[in-house]
This record gives sequence, C-alpha cells and structure tokens, in this order.
Amino acid sequence: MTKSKLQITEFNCESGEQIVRDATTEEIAQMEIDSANAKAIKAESDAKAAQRQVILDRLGLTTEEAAILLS
Amino acid sequence: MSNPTSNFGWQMPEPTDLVTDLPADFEVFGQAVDTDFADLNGGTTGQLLSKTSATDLDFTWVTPNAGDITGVTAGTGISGGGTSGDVTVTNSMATAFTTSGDLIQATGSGTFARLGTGTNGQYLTTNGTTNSWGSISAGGMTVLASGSITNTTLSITSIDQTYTNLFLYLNMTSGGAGAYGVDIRLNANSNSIYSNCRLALVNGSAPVAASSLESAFRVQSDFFAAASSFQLTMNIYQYTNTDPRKIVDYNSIGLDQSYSAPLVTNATGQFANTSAITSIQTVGSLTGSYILYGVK
Repeated sequence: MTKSKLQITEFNCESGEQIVRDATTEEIAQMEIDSANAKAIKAESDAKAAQRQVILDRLGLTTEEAAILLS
Repeated sequence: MSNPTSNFGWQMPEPTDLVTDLPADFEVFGQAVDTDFADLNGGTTGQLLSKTSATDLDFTWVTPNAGDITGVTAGTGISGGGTSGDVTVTNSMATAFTTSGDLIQATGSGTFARLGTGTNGQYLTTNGTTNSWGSISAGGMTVLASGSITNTTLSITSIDQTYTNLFLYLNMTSGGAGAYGVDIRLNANSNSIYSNCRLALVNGSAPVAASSLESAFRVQSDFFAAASSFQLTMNIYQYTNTDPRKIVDYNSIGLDQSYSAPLVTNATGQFANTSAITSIQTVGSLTGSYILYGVK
C-alpha cells in the first residue's frame, strides 16, 4: 500500500496566496514527534483511567457516584 | 393758471374784475397767503420747522435735541462704522461664511477664521488648539488570511506586523485525524514554551483541568478523539511584541464523532518567546475554513 504524503495548506499573508504542498522532512519529523507524544499522553491517560476504574471497582462505586463525591 | 390757485386755493383777481377792484382783490389774496404761512413766522437760530399736525401748512418751530451719537465704531466681529452721513455696519463673522457647510472657529482672542466643510465621511477633530477635518483611521478587524483546507495541517505565514492583535477563527467540519486532536503552534515553534491554563470539558465533565507548559496550545487534543466538527476562536495579543510573554486566549467547541458529546476548551495561555509572531500552524489535520484577522 502506498502511503500518502503528508501535506500542509499554507497561506502566505504577504502574497495572499494559498498553496498545498508536501510537508518537508523537518515537518514530517515534527508530526511524528507530535503523534508519538499524543500517543504517550493518551497511554498515560488510559492508564490513569484504568487505575481509576480499579479503585472504583474496589470501592463499589460508579464513575457518576465518584464524581458526586468529588464535586 | 387756475384760479383759485391749484395747491392752496388762494383767490386771485378774475380777468373780468374791474381795475378799481384790484387793490381789494390783492388784499384778499395777500391776506390769505399771510394767514396760511403764519406758522413760518418766528423761530430762532438752529430751530427746525416741524409739522404740528397733518393739516397743510401747520408748522411749529422746534429746537432739535442734541445728538447722542457722534460716531459708530466697528467693534469685534463688526466692520464698517463712521462719524458722519449714513453709516453701515456689517457682521464680519457672517460675511466670513462663503460656502455651504462653512464653520467659524476662533484663531485667538477675539479673532476668527472660516473653516470650510470637510470631505464626505470626515470628522471634526482637534490637535488640542485648532479644529480641523480629519479622517478616522480604519479600525476594527482586517482579514489577513482566509481559505479552506481539506484534511491537511494549516500554516499561515508572513503575517503582517502592523496590527495590534491577531484573531484566528477556525470552522472545521472535521478535525484531528485518527486519535490525535488539534493544537495550535506559533512560529512553528515546538519547544515547551506554551504555558496555558485550560479547562477541557466533555459533555460537561472535565477530563482535563490543566496548567502546564507544553509544546503547543492544546485545543482539542485533550479529548484523544477526532472531532466531527469544531470551531475555534483565538486571540493573540500584542503579537509583534518582543517581550517573552505574549498572552493568548482561546475557546473551542466541537462534537465527538458519535455526535453525542460536546468537546469544549476554554483557556488562557502564554507564548514565552521573544520573537514576534509571524506564522501560525495547526497540529493535526483539518477540513474546513479559516480566517485570520489583524486587529487594530
């Protein structure tokens, strides 16, 4: 399967022109870093959510009940 | 010649009168004249003849009152005047008006000058001393960039540096492809210099209430889900300032892909960098329209 190229829509305020161009190597690298960071943050969030659920299960509380206790 | 005389009705001798009657006739005539002009008798030096009644030849010698006015001097705002004869005075301020719309303004104590009307749309302004017509410099918001994008990231570059603030509006029909949401970067700077305090809500509950230093202003990425649509408004204040504390506030609302939960972000942030902001980037692919305004 051919991977589609990442593209950027760029509007140059000086020329007033909008172009769609392929992302540069540096931009692609940054996107990969951003994606990796997002995945890491999501994994951390998911882990916290799982921990939270374990605790709630141990206490026998629903998420809504826990929210009421913390509100 | 009429007889009696046409104006005064004095009886003169008739052509058929006997010569011997002439002395008596002249006596009648003379006496009539004498009687009618009796009022002209008398008087003294400087007196004037004044009508006593509307009756013909009814006069009285009168002494005129001494005149109070010996001259008319044109004061401030008045021209003309004089000390004899007919005197004309003119309101100089009135004659300074020459054209419809003219105004008169003081040029000093007791002096004035015409100020012709301005051109269409001008307003009366002042430099603190003198009034003049001036145009109001265009304020408000000016579109610096606008357009539509389809499933790409957005980069707005070469931003005009002559405005005070920037206002970014995104109206996206989808945002955040895959599991990644949408963030905003300035000057394509990916360093952890984006300080922001934000509250991100999903359907009223708060998955994130964060105050952190990150590599972008987080708009929708807290939700770890692509939005089916979202709108963003972002103010970037004093964006040309080289002070390393540029304040930003932004609000966004979207819907998750099941169209069941509103995704809301309210945040105040700071871009901790001395560079003036010349470009804005989205992090995450978007589809929809954008407008960037320069705000005076």
